[in-house]
Amino acid sequence: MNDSAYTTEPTAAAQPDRDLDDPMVSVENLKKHFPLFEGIFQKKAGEVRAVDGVSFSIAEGETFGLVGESGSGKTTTGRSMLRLTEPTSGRVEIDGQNVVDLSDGELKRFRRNMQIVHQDPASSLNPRHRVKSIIEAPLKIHDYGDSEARLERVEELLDMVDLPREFMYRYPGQLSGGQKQRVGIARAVALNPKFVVLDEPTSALDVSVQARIINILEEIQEEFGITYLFITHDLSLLKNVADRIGVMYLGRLVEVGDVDSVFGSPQHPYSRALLSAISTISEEDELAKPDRITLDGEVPDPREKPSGCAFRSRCAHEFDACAVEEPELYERGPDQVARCFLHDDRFEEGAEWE
Amino acid sequence: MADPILEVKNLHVHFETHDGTAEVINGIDFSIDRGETAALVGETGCGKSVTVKSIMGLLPSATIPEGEIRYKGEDVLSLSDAERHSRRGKEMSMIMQDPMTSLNPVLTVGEQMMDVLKWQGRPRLSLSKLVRDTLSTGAKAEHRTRAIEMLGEVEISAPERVFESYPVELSGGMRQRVLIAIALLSEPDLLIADEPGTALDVTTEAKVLDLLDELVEERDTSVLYITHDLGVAREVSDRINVMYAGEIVEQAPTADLFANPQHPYTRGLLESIPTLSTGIGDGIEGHLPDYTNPPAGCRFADRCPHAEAACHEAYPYPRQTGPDHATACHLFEGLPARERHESLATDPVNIGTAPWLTGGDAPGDISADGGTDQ
Repeated sequence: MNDSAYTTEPTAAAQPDRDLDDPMVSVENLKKHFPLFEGIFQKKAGEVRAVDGVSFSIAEGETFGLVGESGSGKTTTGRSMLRLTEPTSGRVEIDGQNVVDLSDGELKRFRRNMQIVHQDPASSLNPRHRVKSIIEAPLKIHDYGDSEARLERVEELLDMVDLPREFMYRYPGQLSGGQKQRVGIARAVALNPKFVVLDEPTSALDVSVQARIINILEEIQEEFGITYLFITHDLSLLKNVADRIGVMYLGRLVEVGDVDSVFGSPQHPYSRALLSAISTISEEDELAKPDRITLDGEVPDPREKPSGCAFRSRCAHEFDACAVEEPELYERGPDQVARCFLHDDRFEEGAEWE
Repeated sequence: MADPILEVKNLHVHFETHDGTAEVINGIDFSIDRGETAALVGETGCGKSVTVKSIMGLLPSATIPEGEIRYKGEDVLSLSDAERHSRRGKEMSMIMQDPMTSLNPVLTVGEQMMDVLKWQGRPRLSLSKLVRDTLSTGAKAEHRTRAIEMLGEVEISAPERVFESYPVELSGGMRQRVLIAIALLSEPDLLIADEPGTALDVTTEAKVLDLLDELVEERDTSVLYITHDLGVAREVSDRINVMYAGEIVEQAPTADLFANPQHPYTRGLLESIPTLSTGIGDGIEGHLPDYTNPPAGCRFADRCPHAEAACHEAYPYPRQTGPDHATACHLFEGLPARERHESLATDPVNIGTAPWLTGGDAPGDISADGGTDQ
């Protein structure tokens, strides 16, 4: 192993200064491991490290985009941050409060500050409840006024998501996909949360509907200063909604930075390949993305991640060191870090990167 | 249209529902030349899948009150079930949308591939043939070799192993490759691909699309490509047909459609797509009309920012707006693209010209009275 001092400072917890000195949300070394059992005695046979040490922070009122392919751990990250699945370890601070330490009772009370909009509006709304009782549920749980005050709030929320007020007496089955998702959004913002996880909020919708939903989400954010974590696999969408983004691969963040830097000059081979695979509708966009890079093979089995850099099995730049140890996050710009040895001056190959 | 392999003329498809008859496809026309890739683009519920299923003859519960589907000049709607069956798989085949559910989970990939080869071109397997097949191992071995070869061609690295695998043992990308292999196994002349990349991750999708492109190029297969993604359509197709609510609202060569989109729906769709350079639009308000009680005039009028009262009354027949560009919108003038609409053209609806054209020449603008032949 090479012992010489790093010439490029590895920045394990690289958090650029920007306005992130006092972030609304900060995640430190978050881990979620799912145990695997086998045999008739259900002996623990290993684990899937779905989220394996993820750190990032989000400034108040900003949108942080988390992008990656299926199985990369982006949804698990979002869910463990809200403790919808219990994280294995790590620290999640939301508005100064470490969520991981909260007792059940405290957690329930704290949930008014952190909400989620689920991916599939068809399955995340109870089909046997009317829209009114769906949106009212969080208000009731958190003792929001009397029934009159709640009704008023429901009307206000329906206005906010651009749904006619009489829709409150409908059932989800009577609504279109876009309308259902608006109800999901109204429910999530009912208690004026500080932080909302948007888990692929538009991937089940048509593009013409998606654009409306995105506009509504942006209006709400502007008005109430809500901080968003936007989880998606759609990079072109992220370019339009996020302030900063993180690219995930097999449970690790491989690149983090502000949206313009990452799109303008991706510094990890995986981010570059992802960007190159976007399908575009204009020549302009065609030029704005890297030339098509075809990745070898497929995402490895998360139970048997490659040693060292998890991406090396598909990377065109792989060299000896990649198998030995995992790269740190190397600083590549004022607000951009990438987990790749190509940026380490110890290795000659670094020169190959542009 | 020198030698179209597939021609769809004035196709209507109806479904009986308990709310009345749903007029799901309302008179669509399009054709695919040999070796060409045409795309059918539209959003959920616009009738793209119904269209291709009626071409394949996979819609037992639908009625087709009017229309023609000509495959190599022969009207397939007049063929018997057995005759259509014998053409499926051999002459035309289809890649289904969802690789997770369109393979049989209790059969190995190999068994499913062998089935295609065993049945191809045969409406029924006769008893004597069955006996002969069982007794002779020759055909079987041949089929096996052919299937494994095909798996190799879709760039599966261990074809023998995949041949013996059950679908659950394969990843989404692998399953999609298997489906492509099955669809191409009997060298069809027409391939219908129903959103083959949608269920896959972007990097896998890009690879599968490239592969498909290569394979059809080699074989000179004609492809009808169904997708909701104009970006994908732009990448794969030569011609695009934009569908809305059971009608084709605009058809043009791919480059022309993107350079000069005309129908307000096409334009709304293009503006809604998040892009890298310009941003995200406002989307399109409203939703699809009720198919059991469709509007008399333009089916898009309720959602159209340029609609006038007349649009709700008069049917916007597709009209030639360029040499090879047809748009079904009253904003455009031009001779009817179909003969059957000539009577409608005698009483034109005047709602002015498209506002985006009056401000100055649109890029790549094709003069409205050009290309009035046909």
